[in-house]
This record gives sequence, structure tokens and C-alpha cells, in this order.
Amino acid sequence: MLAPLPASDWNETTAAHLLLRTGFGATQQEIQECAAAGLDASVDRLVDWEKTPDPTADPEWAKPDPTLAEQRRALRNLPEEERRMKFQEFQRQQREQLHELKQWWLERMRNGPRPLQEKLTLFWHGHFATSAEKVKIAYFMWRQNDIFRRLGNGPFRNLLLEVGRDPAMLVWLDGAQSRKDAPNENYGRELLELFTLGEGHYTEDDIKAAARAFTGWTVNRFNQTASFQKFNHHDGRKTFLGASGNFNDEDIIDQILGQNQCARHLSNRLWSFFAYQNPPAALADSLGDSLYRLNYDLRPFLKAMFRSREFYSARAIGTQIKSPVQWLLATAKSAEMARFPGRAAIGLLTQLGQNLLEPPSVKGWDGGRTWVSTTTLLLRQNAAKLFVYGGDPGGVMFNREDMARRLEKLQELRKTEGKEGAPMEDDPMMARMERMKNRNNKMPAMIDPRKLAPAGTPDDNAALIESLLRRFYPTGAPAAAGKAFADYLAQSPDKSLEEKTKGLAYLMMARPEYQLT
Amino acid sequence: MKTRRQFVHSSMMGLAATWTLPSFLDATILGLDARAADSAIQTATGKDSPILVVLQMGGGNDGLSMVVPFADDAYYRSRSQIALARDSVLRLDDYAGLHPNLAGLKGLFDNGDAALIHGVGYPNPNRSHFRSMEIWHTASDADKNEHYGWIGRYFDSACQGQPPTAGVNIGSMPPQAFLSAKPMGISMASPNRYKLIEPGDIAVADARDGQMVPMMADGENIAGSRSGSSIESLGAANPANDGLSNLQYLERTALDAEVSSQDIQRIVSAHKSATPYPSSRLGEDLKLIAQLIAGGLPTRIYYANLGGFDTHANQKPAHDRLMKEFSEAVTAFVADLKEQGNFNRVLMMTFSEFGRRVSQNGSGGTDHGAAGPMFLFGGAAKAGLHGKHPSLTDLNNGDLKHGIDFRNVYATVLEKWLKVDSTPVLKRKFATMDLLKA
Repeated sequence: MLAPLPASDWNETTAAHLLLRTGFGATQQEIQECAAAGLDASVDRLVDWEKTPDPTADPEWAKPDPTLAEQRRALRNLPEEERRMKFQEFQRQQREQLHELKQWWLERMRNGPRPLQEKLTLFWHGHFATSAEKVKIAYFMWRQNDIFRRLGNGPFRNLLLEVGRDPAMLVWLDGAQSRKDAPNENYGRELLELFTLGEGHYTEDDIKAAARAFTGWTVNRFNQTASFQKFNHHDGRKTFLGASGNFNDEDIIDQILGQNQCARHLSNRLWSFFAYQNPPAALADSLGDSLYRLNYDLRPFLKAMFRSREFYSARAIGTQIKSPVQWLLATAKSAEMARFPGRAAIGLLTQLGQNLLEPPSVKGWDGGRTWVSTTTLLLRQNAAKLFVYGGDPGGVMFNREDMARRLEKLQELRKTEGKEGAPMEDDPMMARMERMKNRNNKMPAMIDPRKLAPAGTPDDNAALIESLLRRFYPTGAPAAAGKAFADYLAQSPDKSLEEKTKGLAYLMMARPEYQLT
Repeated sequence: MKTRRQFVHSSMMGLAATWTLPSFLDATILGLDARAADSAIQTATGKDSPILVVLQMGGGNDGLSMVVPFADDAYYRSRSQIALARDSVLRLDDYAGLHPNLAGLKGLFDNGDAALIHGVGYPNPNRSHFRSMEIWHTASDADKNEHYGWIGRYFDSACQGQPPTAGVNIGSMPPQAFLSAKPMGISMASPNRYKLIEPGDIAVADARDGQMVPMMADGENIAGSRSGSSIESLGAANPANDGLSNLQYLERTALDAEVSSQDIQRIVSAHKSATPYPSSRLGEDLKLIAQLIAGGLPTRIYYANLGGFDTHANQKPAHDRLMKEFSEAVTAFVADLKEQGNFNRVLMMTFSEFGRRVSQNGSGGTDHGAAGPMFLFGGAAKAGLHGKHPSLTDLNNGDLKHGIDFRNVYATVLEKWLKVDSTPVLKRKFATMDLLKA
């Protein structure tokens, strides 16, 4: 088992590290409370999140729609043209709901009372990476998200089984179309390669056997549930990972979990996400053994990880490149953002390379350095500027040129639909795009300097720098920066406290070090 | 010829963009510069060196709808709904011709500006987009996994000490092909957004200017103190950048971003193209590349992307549109380069991760296949047709067999165009082909 952090090393820096990694940012007050509560109690509170009430309501549409079956039947009798229009209307509605879902989730991450629950949900979303681009039904995406939220800290077996029977996954990796006489291997392959064992620890025949064992599970598009069709299940002998029998999906999962390699693969993924990438071999061994011995029960494993001395080592603290979501939400928290980009946040995150619920492939986001390119780094710096000073959002919160091009395409489409003259309000998405395209220099600042340096703050340069650094760099200020900030203030001694605060906040967020957490 | 260090400093002087001078500067860049300054590695990045433009056709382009085997009955038998009518095809020879929307491209062939390579692929083709793209990007065998990209290995072996704009990807995230041991190359989605917005608070800019002087002095001192020591030991003391920490990586990327954004802003405001381009995404991307070429950005490889080729259902309207976009954009690009007088120093190469199945599927589309055509455009390309069109009846699991390994094309471009040894880039020797004018 991992060696625990000695009590003497528990302080505001280690507490801040715990909160940043298990959540999406932390205020000064939260850090102090966490440090005072102690390591064990803090970890328990984070991992045993069920004990913290969460009053957030699900999106209003997040349930099966019983009228859908009737609607679909009615569609069949319509003339082709009308059917097409109805279908487009349906697609528009799904896109709207998906957008709502993204915001709903982001809001939970930002303000929800159970940060680790959302952080783990994000981890599982990246692990079982499923994209709405193919799934298309917003309710299915919500339902999968909810599986991660409900089962994220429990036994991995439950989660794995549920994911295999999840409508979104059945659509995403083609299980819904798998037939007993022609099994689709897509899910079987990714299950072994990405979700459990990792490449090189199974054969092509194992994939085929798994695919056969999973046949029968499909999506009922009418009542929007997964269902098992016995007649379509391959009811026969299979050989999988060296064992033979008439296996079904549960048997396959048990065979996989019986391999130490699965524990090794999964624990490595968890460690890379929460602590740092590429743990040394000895640590990887001990993490894998630990998860295996715990019978894949994630709750005690997570606690051991977050209590371990290694989790607070120099290799871990302040070394991880912030994902776009982490960057945005930690900024909102640290700067006590007076406003939040809200709907526009989704566009910003997409431009920064993390479009929630639409990962680039089944491999999820590679993370680490791949979050940062010359373009996304400039974008992060420009967004920081926009947060502090306000300004034209067109080059930051969305891509104005792309928007214009998409709008043009949509307008052409309307022409072919014969709706050329119809008012834009017909289509809320187009209307919104039109408004955004034309919005110039109008976004107000989102950070209020009076929150960063409240009235009564003494106008003392050194003290101001010190307090802002604590805010923006909770686990430690960048070594080389101190002098630069002092020099900046020294440039123009006549500045108001408010102007100085804004300038410093921007400069602190524009630094390369700010991209680390 | 400026070394990287001088380059960094002079551009900082100009606009004082990076007030946050990276702490690693002495540890990495200076070391690299010192090495590069004294070695033959520092090949010309100036006005006359060859440029490669790679155009990725993402999603799996249906080669048989682009280069149509109109004389083959098997084509019409396999594709009852989506086959292109025999008399609509723009004939290249007695067997195959171009999609009717490729009129501009046909003009390039007639003019001797374009080359087509039939049936390019690799052994044991993989039909996953993700994996097959990875194979094309890393130039690895289908059963091996490589981390770094083929262009990245070219950067590593031939571009050290050059400015980051040795590689320019049009898009916000670099393709895997660019992944190198030592960070190189920039990614830019659009020049309008590829810059630091000037802070509303002017005093911030003042402060940045104020920062430059001491930083410059520091930099010079470091350089001065080291210029006496042996170049080799400097290289050894500063091992390759693959040892960069995440912070050093970020500092490096920030510096690359700021330096390159100034160059790019300067060039795009100074060089406007007189050639009309279509208003498509690809049109704009190629127009930008042409501007950067005209402005003399010291770039060896540009990378652009045309997506949307994953046409499983109702393929025809989508593919027709893509062909039009492709043809119009490339034709304008070629005309622009000729106008600039740069057509002879630019070679454009297209590829897609795979072609599509010979037989259409039940939904008027095509599923993932294997071999497909590649194109070369440029004054140096040996115009015309290369290789044999793959047979439509002698198939591998319903897919075209490749006649040419894409790595033979890469090797040719590396050796004969970029003039580097292809073996360290492709990890072994691949024969070159006769694709370029002598």
C-alpha cells in the first residue's frame, strides 16, 4: 500500500493541492478550512460524497420521453417533405438540449457541493469517451453522464457492467447494431484496448469472443432504454483470455477483472489524471497491486491515493498542465469572477480543445502537453485579458470567421428549403449565431478588481502582489516572477489601486506558470 | 542568417511581446543556437529553399470517385447508385479520369503542373480512421506504434536551431505528424486570432517595454560567457529538449507563439494576394499559406486539412461538394504561387488515411477501404500519372490493393525535395520514386 503523507507535511499548500486536483479550483477560505480539518477528514469528505447533500435538479428533459414512440409512428405517415422538416426540428431540439447539458454539467463542476464527484465524472467521460456527435440524443448523453456520477467511486465492476449496457455506449460503439450471426467488434475492441487491459494484453480472438458475448444488448429507440434480446444473443461456447464457456457480458467482465493487468492499466490512468503522467515502474506496480487487492473497489483506492505521500511529492504539486475546463473553472474561483461566460464558455472550451461530451475520439483527450499549442496558449492569454478588461469576444469566446461561414451555409440551406425570407427567429441557433457574429467590443469585464482587493485594502505594492499571488497560485508562486510584478507596478506609480489590481491579475494569468496546477 | 537567439531578441525589441522572458532561455535555446550556428545543420531557411505543403483529406477520401476508372465495367457494377457517368468524367487517359467537379485540377494536369500517384497505401491496412491516420502520420508499420510523427522526426533531424515557424500547421492543434522530440512548429487557426490582444490598459504595454532592457542584457551576458566554451560541450550540457519539464515546455510554447505571431501579423498585413480565392475554408487556409510564402516566413513544411470525407451514407452530394472545394482552392493556390514566382519552390502533396470500399453500401455511401490516390502539385512535380490504377476485381477483402507504399512517396519528398536523408526520418530505407523533375 502507498505510504501516507506524514501529518507534519499537511499544511495550506498540500491542502490547496488536494482541493485543486480533486476539484476545479479553490478559494482562500476553502483552502484554510481544508487545512484545518486535516488530511483524513478532508479526503473522507471528498470521496464519501454521498454524505454531502446535493440539491441540484436534473435537466427538465432528462428522462425518457413516453410520447416519442407515438411521434415517430406519426412521422411515418407524413409526406416526405414534411417528415424531413420534422426530423430537422428534432435535430435542432437535440442540439439545444445538448448545449444545455454541457452548461448544466459545467455549472455542477463550478458550484456543486461535491467537487470530486464531478471530477471523477470527467475522468470517466474521458475514459469511456463517448461523443454526442454520433449518439445525437441528448438524453442518452445525460444518462451516461449520470452513470459516471452515480457509480464513479464504487466497485469498478458495477460501472463496467452498466457502461456496456448503456444506450449511449451501445450507439457510440455500435453494440446496438451487433447481431449474433455478425457480431460488431467495435465495443469489444475498445473495451480491451482502452477501457480495461490496454494494448498488447489480448488477442484478436479475444475481441471476437467478447463481441459474441455482448450480442443481444441493444437500444430500444421507442422507450429509450437498453434491452436484452435473447434471440439475438450468441448462446454458445466462447474462448476468452484462455478460459472457455458459454459466456455473457458479466462473465467477460469477470474474466477481465481477474487479470492483474486490468488493475494496473486502470490505476495508471487514475494516477495520471489526478497526480502526474508516467508514474515510475515501482509506483505503477504498487498502485496496480493495491487496486487489485481491493477487488477494484474505487472508494478505498481513491482514499489511499489522495492520502499518499507520493501524491504530494514535488513531482506532483504544481506540475500538471491545466485542462481547459480546469483552467476556466479555477480562474473563475480564484478571481471570484463576478460573471461567468455561461453559454459562451462552451465555445471557449471548444476552441481550447475540450468540447465536453464531444471528445475527439474513443481514446478521449490525451491531456498533458497536448492541451497546449501556440494557438491555444495565445487564446488562454487573450481570454484572461478579456476576463479582466472586457472587450471584443469575437476572437476569444468563439471563432468569428467560422461562425460567419457556418451561418452562410445555414442560410444557403434555408434557401433550398424555401425559407429564404422567413425571420431568423425561426431558428434559435441561427439567431444566436447572428447576434454573436455582430457583437463587437461589448463583452464587459468578468473580474471585479474590488473583489480581489476589497475596499480598505492598504495601497501597498508588495502586499498587493503577495495577496494576488496567493489567490492565483495557491500551491506556490512562480519563482522568477516576483521581480517582474514589482517592476510592473513601479512603472506607473500613479495608478489607482483598482488599475494596479487589474494589471497584476492579467499579468499573473498570462504567465506560462499559470497553465500549471 | 540570424541564429535563433538573435531572432528572439530582435523581435522582442520590435514589439516587446513577451514580457515574461522564459527562465529556460539560457538552458535550451542558447544551447541549440550555439550548436546550430556552428554546424551544417543550419540549412537555408531563406527565400530560396524548398517548401512542402501537406494537405490532409480527413475521413477517408473515396479515391474511386475522385479518380474514376470510367473504362472499367466493374466500377459501374459495384456502384449502381453512386457511379459517375462515363461521359461526365474528365479523362486523364483511356482508363481513368477526374471527377466532373475537378475541372480546375484537370487544367493543372493539362498544363503539366500536377502529378497523380495511383493506388497508394501500406501493407496490412487498418480500417480505423484513428489508427490508419496514425500510421500515415508516424510512417510506422501497421503492426507497430510510433509516438513521433514523420514530420516531427524531420524537424528533429534537420531543423534544429531554426525558428519555430519551420513548421506551420493551419489549425488550432498540431497533427500527430508534427510531434517531435524537440518542440518545433506552430499551430494557427487564423491569423486574426493568432496574436496577443493589446491590453486595454496601456500601462501594461509600457511595463513590457521596460522589461526588455534588463532581459536583453541578461541574455547577452549568458551568450557572451558561453561563446568561449566549446560548442560540443554546450550541446552536451544542454541535452535535447525532450528533457523539458512541463513548465519549460509551456515557456517554450509561449515564446514560440509570441515570436511567430509577430512575424505572421507583419506578413499578412504586408502581403495581400491579387489572386481570387473561393470563400471556402480550404480556400482561406491555402490563401493564408500563399501569403506566408510570399512574405518569406522561413517555413519548410505547411500543413492544411480538408475534412468531411467519411461518407458512409448518401455520399454523392457531400463528396461532389468536397471535390469542388478542393479543386477551386488548389487551382487558386497554384495560380497565386505562379503569380508570386514561387511555384517552382513549392511542392504540395495530398493524402487521405484510406480510400473506400469498392462496392457501395446499402445507404448510397461507401465504407472504409484501403489504397487511394495521392496528388502532387508544383513546378518541380513530374507531371502526369504514376503507378498503375489498382484492379477493381483483384481485391483484398473487398478493398483495393496498394501498388505503392506511401513511405516511398515520403522518402522521395524528403530526399529529392527537402534534400535530407530519409532514413532517420522514416526509420529505415525506403526507395525513392521518379516523381520530381531532375
